[in-house]
Amino acid sequence: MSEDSIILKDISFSYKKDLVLKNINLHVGRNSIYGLIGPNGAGKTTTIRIILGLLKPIQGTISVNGNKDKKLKYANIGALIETPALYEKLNANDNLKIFTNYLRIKNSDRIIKETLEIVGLQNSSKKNVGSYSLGMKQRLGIAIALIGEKDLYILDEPTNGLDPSGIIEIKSLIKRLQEDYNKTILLCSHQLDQIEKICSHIGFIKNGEIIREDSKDNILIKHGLSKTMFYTGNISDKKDLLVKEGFQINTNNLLSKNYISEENNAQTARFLMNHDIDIYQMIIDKSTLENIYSTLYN
Amino acid sequence: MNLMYLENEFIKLKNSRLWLVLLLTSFIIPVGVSLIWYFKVAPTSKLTVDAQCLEFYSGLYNFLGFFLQVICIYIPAAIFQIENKANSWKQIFIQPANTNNHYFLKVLISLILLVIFIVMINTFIFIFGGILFHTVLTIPFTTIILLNTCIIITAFSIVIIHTFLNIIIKNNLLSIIIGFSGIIISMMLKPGKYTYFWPYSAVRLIIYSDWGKGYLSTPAIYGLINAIIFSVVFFILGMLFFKKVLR
Repeated sequence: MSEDSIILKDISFSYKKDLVLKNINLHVGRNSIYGLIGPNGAGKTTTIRIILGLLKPIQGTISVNGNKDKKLKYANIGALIETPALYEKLNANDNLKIFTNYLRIKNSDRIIKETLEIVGLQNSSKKNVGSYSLGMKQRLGIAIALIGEKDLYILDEPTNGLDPSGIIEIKSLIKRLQEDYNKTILLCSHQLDQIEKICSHIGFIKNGEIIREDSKDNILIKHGLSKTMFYTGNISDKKDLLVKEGFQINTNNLLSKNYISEENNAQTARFLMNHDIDIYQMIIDKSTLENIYSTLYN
Repeated sequence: MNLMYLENEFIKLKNSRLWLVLLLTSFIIPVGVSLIWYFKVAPTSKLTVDAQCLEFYSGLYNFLGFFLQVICIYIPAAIFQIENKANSWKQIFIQPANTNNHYFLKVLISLILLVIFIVMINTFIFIFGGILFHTVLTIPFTTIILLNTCIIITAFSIVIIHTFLNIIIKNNLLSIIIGFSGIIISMMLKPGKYTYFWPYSAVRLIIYSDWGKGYLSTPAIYGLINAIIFSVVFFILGMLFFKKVLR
């Protein structure tokens, strides 16, 4: 079996005459949390709909958990698409019952109870969903996605409308799904700090193209603007050597170098000391996803 | 098709206004007509009891003709409104089931509701008719079955047409307005050679047939055949557009 849970190869999609997706290549590794980032209209939702089999691409191949083309809906995916699909005149139990029935789960009461406990709605299960707050609706939407033993979850803006404690709960739930249950998660969110905290892999989509896709660490280091800065003694006589080693010399006692890893920092520090350069202070200025996003999309 | 899917359709209808509309319509029509008959018509009528009884049932069914058409328009609109309001089509289409099954379910639940309505209204008609005339046997049972079967077939064609309309226009209010226009046109059309071409006329042609004779008039037969053709055509069209439009 492939190591990737989702593989999109050269996927293009056009809506009427507009080419919305252009040769998208996307790989979501098994047991990873993949964050798909992009501004509104970049093609995130279209990509998700294609993965779920709701839209048919004009070219390219899709494989989800080994299922292709018309079999995508049998790929065991739990999804929260845009706003949660909820029947407001029914209570949470009935809403979940509908989806356990679609999955042909018999004697579903226990599963419904457990799922409601996971999302923290066990005490409101008998209330009509119409009386729920936005956050509670979002949680129930996630509960619908969680129903059944799914291998892959696709969550589009799962923390929309949640209060801070709700966001923390959902974030830890997503983490738990991956760490404790070995699930794969494809997450779309505009909240970059959230993606940075929970995702292991990130893909940037812009104007219907995946412009970067890598593990989060690689994205933050390779494509990022992270720097290690050294406040040192006077280096005016060693400038040539330092430039040759890849340092940027800011002033006579401030050096900086692109951040690669902690080990690399240790090596760099050793190099400076071996060349009789005193280090007074070392500051790691790690770039954030927000910095990278601003660079990529401006 | 799995029975659990059908159970879903009934769960979705929980707390729906549709049940109230069906119950009230099927109850109020016979009650209203019975009261009018008892206080206004019966005291002045010079007909025999048997003839009065026939007139009464005929009056009730005529009244039903209009309301049945309204119910046929309302049922698919209410069913589709539940999904539209819940924004649930996408979530349904990603479930591991054939998409056509979801379409068949919508049609099936509409048919079930229509039959429930016909059964309820007949029950109330015969209860109140029985109370008024102390007998329901003036109309032979086979005629009642034939009449109601024909009513269901013709009414079902309107349900199917409106299922299709709700799929393509995705607006239940607009589909109801179109339906009402259809009914008004059917009321304006004088019963003639080509009335049966208008889908909304079929129910009325069936009801207006002289049921005292126990068989269908020629326009009613044409109306019945047309209703079957309309049902088949719009059923196929609905199936073709179902996923394409709603996803």
